[in-house]
Amino acid sequence: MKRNDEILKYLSDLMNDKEKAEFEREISLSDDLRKEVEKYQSLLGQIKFNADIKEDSPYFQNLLPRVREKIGKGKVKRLLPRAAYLVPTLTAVALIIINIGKFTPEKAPVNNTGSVNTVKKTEVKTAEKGDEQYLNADYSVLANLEYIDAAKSEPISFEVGLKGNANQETIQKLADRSFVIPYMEDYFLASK
Amino acid sequence: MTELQDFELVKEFIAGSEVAFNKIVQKYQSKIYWHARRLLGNHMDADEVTQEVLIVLYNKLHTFNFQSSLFTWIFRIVSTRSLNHLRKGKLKKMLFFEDDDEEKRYKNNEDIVRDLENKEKLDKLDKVLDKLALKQKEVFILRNFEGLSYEEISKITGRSVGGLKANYFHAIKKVTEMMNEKE
Repeated sequence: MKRNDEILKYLSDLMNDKEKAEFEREISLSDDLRKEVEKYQSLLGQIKFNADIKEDSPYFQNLLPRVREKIGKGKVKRLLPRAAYLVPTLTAVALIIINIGKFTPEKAPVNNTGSVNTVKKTEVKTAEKGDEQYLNADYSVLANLEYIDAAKSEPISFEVGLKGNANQETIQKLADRSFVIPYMEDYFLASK
Repeated sequence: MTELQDFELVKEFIAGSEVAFNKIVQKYQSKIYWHARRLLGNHMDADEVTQEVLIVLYNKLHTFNFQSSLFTWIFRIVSTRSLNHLRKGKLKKMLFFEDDDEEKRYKNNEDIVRDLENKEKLDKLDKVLDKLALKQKEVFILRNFEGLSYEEISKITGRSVGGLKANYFHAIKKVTEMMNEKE
């Protein structure tokens, strides 16, 4: 090992007791080694001297008031993010609740097939919008519906109600005794 | 002021005394700042970390468990925050290709040391410390400038005494080599 490393090891307290005692004995016997150790200690002392600096501005007098101000603001700030999260969350929840009825039926086709037995008109009023004829009526349709789901494959008879203002084409489909309910929006299942 | 008096101040603060917090700040602010300053190498970053540490102190002092000295507890926060600050800075430099020299010039515009002789001493110190790896720098500062034992440094850094000795060995090796080159 190089002599310098030994000195640094000694100064770092990396030597065990035996090594330390031996090294200290060598120092006491060798002027050169003692001077070399002192040189290293002096270099470290020099850097310690460079670190001994006093500030010459009122920084520390102003520090506490600045920190106090930030602590005060922090108390308010800690509440703000909570509110910032709460408002959009509540808005989102409200929007979901409001729209859940609107969107779910449109996006979820009803997987029922069946045939129409009878179509009973309860009231018929026609209205024309451009080329299309609309029937302002509530239709009551007796239909045999079969669920595609194998577990529920038994034919079940339902009274299917058709909402008012139904398009003529939809009515015709029902009358053709064959239809696939595309979306729940146009139909509702009335109790049998 | 003894460790016992520190504990009394902490208890008073937890009980609601804001004056006790002021006393703790007045006692430790300089040590906090200079430790952060030596680790970070400039006033702006040190100021930021010092304020951060004092705010953490205010908010977390109620979690102090009286198992270590207040000094050790505070220095642990200063070291952690300073090293995190340095790591963040390095990452930022890597990501945004920031110019080191320009940044230093900007950060050195504002300082609490104005006396030319002191400024020169501080510059020399920063240049030497800048060459050390973070772990080496930390142990070198705590042992050389704060005069702490390896056991005390171990409590602050959470590293083993053996590891700290090795880090200190490499630190003083680099430091003395640099100083020798200059002479």
